[in-house]
Amino acid sequence: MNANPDTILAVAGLTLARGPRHRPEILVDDLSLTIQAGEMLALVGESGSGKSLSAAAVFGLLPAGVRRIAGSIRLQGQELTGRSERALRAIRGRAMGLVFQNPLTALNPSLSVQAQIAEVYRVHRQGSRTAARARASALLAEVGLQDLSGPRDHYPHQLSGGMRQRAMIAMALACDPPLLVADEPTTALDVLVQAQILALLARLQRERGLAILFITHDLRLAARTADRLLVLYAGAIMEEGAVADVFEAPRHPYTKALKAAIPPLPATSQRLFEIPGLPPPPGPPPSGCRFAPRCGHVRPDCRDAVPPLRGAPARFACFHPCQDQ
Amino acid sequence: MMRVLAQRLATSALSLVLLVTMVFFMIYATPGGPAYSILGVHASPLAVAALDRQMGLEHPLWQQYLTWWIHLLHGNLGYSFTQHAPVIDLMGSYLHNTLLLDAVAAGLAITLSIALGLLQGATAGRGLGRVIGAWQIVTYSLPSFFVGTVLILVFAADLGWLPPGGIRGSTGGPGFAADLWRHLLLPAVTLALPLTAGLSRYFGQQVRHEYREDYVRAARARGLAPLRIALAHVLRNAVRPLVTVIGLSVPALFVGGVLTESVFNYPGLGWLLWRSALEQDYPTVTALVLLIGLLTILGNLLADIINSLLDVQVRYD
Repeated sequence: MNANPDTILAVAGLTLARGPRHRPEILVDDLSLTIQAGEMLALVGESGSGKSLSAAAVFGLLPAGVRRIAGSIRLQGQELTGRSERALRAIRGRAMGLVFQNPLTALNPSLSVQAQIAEVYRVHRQGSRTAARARASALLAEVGLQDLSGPRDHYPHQLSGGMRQRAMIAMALACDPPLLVADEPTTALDVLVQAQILALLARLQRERGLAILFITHDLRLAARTADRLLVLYAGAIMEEGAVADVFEAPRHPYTKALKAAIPPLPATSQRLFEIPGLPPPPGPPPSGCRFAPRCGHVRPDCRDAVPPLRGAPARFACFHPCQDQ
Repeated sequence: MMRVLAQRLATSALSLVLLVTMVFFMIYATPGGPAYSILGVHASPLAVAALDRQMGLEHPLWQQYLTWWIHLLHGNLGYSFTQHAPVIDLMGSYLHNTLLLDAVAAGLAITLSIALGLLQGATAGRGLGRVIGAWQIVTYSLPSFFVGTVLILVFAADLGWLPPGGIRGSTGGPGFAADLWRHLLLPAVTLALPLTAGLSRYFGQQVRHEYREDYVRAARARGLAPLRIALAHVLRNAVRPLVTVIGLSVPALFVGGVLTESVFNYPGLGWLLWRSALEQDYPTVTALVLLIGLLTILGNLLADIINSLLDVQVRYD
């Protein structure tokens, strides 16, 4: 795993579960991924597919009742699992930043954004108040909020949604972490602001050589922004590879169905495609492919064994992959 | 801001007028009339008629009502027949003691409530949170005459560490402040205990609510330590509604003082109310009821003003 010194994040065999130990409900099953410096990996999946939970696991902030039963998480070669809470605290915010879906609720309403950015810097770098304040100003300017980089304080409610998300990104970058995790960073924003935030992330990725884990349910957005895609379904990887392979020529029927479900632009009066059925509820792992009950190409052997991830460079977990159309 | 303030002031003024009017009719409605209740059940009709005339009760109702207002505005709260002094003077000589005791008790209660509430909110659903919750119910339910008596028995009678009551020992001079503190401690604790139970429970709920907010999760993801999250983030947001509740507790503190001051024989307004009620000193009781009403109105007004100031600070800073 450590062969490449540019590997920022390497998750291997991550398995998350809740419920009783003898009969656990598997929420994320054997997730492996790597992100290089200067690369953006999009984790794509429906609600409940385990994307945000995986991000929480990277930060060591799993919700109560959810536990990691297997797997390793390495940040710049350092193993994060099994570390004390204290050790993890020193890493969170300093070596990895997290951006949330709703920038209004993720900002403390009664502290100025400047103070909240400066706080991260002071906590991790033990800098002086003035140094932290100067750092906050520089970061705000870097994320395109030059107007807020003066000496005046600005509170979250004085900012627009897009400005708030920019401030959140500045906060996540306060200590120049090599890794940024953006959990649905544009879902709460309107389309124009969405594009601006994605452009900002792409610029930071390029200029800072930042590794970005971009979590989204929107395949089109992921394909437009990221370098590589990882498609999750019911907690397991369905397909993974470069955008050019996975999005342009999906091999897995699920990815293909997701792509078909993207509403066409410009809008037509045709009925939109939807994947029939619902994702399975978390429970004991099914025998066979998880997607089989909803799959349009299902064959009898799909229900007998779990298809392993195969293929190169793009990998997919399907016995009967779609051929290039 | 000014508009809100003007609105609040107008509401308070209206409440005040209603309060004074209600108290007036309360006296008027005493069974047998005020003179009868002052002089007692066995008073002769002649004596009642004489007192009626002396108190102006033979005039029509509207005239009495006006006179009531004029007297109030001139600071004339009537004359205490049992203490042989104008009620206003009587109140003046006890007021500062009550203010001192209530301030100490309120300071104690607020400090304890913030500490307990933060702990309770941060440990909600776990052992410590449950222990604090049980403690709140017990201390809220214990009557102050019981708590006061137990404290006197333990700390004054058995251990002899603190005086059992009163406000100062026989010695004056150099050790005056220390002596005053020793006298204040037990009644202040007695008064603060139920107030702390209510305030900390309310504050604990606020803290618990804040802990579920996204910004707390975000703060954790930035590697901030739990203590820092509690003090620099959660406290700031949870404390604002507490201001209102503290404002509303001012009259409760005063009313609680009636029993506490009596148990500790502490010469304050509560003690005066207790004595006056026992001795059927109606003018004094009436004046103190008016004062409690006034405190309620002022507490509300103060809470509103502080809250709008806090709000403005965030909004227009």
